[in-house]
Amino acid sequence: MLALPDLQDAFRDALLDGNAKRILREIENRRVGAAGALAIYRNHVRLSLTAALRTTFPVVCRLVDERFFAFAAHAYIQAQPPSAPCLAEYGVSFPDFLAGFAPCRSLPYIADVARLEWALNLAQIAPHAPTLDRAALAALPAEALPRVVFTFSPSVRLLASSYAVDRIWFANQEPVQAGVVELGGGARLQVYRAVDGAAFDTLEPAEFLFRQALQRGLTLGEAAEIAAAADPMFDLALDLRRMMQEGILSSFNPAQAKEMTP
Amino acid sequence: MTRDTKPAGSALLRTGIGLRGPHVATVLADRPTVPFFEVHAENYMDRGPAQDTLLAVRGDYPVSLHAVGLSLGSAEGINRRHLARLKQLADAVEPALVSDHLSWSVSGGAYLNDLLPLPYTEEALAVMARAIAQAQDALKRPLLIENPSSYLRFRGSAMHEADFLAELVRRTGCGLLVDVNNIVVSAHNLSLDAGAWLDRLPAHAVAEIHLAGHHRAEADGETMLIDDHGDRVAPQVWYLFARALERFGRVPTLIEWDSNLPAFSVLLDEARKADRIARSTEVRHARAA
Repeated sequence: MLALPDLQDAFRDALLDGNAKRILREIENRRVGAAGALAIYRNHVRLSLTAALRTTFPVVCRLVDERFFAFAAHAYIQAQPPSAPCLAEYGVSFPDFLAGFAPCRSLPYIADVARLEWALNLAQIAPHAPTLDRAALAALPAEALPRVVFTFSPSVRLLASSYAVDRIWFANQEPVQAGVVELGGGARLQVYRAVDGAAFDTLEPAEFLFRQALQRGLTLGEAAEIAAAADPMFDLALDLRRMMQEGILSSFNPAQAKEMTP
Repeated sequence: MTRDTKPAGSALLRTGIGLRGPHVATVLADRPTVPFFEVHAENYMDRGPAQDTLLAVRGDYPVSLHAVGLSLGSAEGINRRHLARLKQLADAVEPALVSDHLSWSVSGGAYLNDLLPLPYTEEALAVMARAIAQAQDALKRPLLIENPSSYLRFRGSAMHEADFLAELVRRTGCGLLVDVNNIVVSAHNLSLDAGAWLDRLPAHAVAEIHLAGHHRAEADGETMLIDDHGDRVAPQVWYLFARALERFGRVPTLIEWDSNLPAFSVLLDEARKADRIARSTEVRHARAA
């Protein structure tokens, strides 16, 4: 008999890749035979993981239909099985997988729809984080403000697409209305957890660039310059207030602001 | 009989219900009379909205945490990050019971999302015992280990499954979660004697019983029982449940239902049936005494 590490490795190969040669010698079932018994496990692994992906990516599933989704999910599960037991956290690389999956080539927007669904999933399951201390921020001397660096709540993701993934998403919510969705025009979205659950907002180009710069760790001054370059009318104070109202900022770093003061 | 040393309080000695996502809102709104709820630990990790909901349930009910992800039987060892998250959850929930399975799910870092079978050998015993001890040390509480539903056996298995569990109890001090449906499923699929299986277990270690439905799958003129938790408890499982009660006494009992989840009232109905059977078993005991 194989040692336990090899036995489990062989079992894994049989479940994921259908390569059952090594494990079939080790197992038995008098009713349905070793291969019949193994198929019960393989079937469960495939169906349960496909169901987990369908729960996280319901709009993708609706767009491609159940059968195609199961086909794509099976290929993904083989290539990139979960690495941890919380299935709500499975699928981080599914959007990229779909982007490179040849049978999906006629649906160029599908990967971005998947990215939106993944961001919504993360927004829902992210742990709680503190909300920014607005009084402490307001108490900073005005000259320190441009050097402030913010930390975003872990539920926040920014997403840009050259397709109207927001309209596609809305058009595929229950009850689905018949109609044509205009795919063009692109979308810049902020996905986050609002009071009543995961949500997304559509952003203007300057608002998107502003948040993106801050999320990358640039200072408030640097982010404001980037936003103003995109839109000279960009209202920094208004947008910052809106971000605080939405609770998407978790903390700021005045220490770094002081340190960098010349 | 050392029934009084079992970890459960008397409030748990009626039949509880496995709480699934679609029923949570109903339970929080209606607050039905249920002695305890059991949840899958993996659905409530980290302090976020899901854990908030569980803590709201915990405000009114005892909660049992049933983990499926420790992969105690993996040769590559327990997932430490997952154990740390389970510890955070257990510290927040203060569960009445914590359990996982006699199985493995991880090989080469891939989590296969099934409770996969082990060969019952000295090597597997050492792997399981080490992982259980690690989990119990981290959680600072005894772990209950559940017998799996099986569809195959390993040619190299050297021990009876019940003896393997008994040896884990002896080595680690863990408790046992006896899934009566799994015994019926495994016994049918592997041509074993379900009653004899029960009789081999160390009764003092049995701290919880699971009941669930299964379905029959026909292939090539043969029937396999599939443990899908997708139906009412089958007659032969109720029969074996009564026998388990006679042997183990009244321990916390749970109705589990996962696929084709019905209305919550159906689960209440199954729990009441389990309580009726338990009462009539006690009456028989009293008459026999």
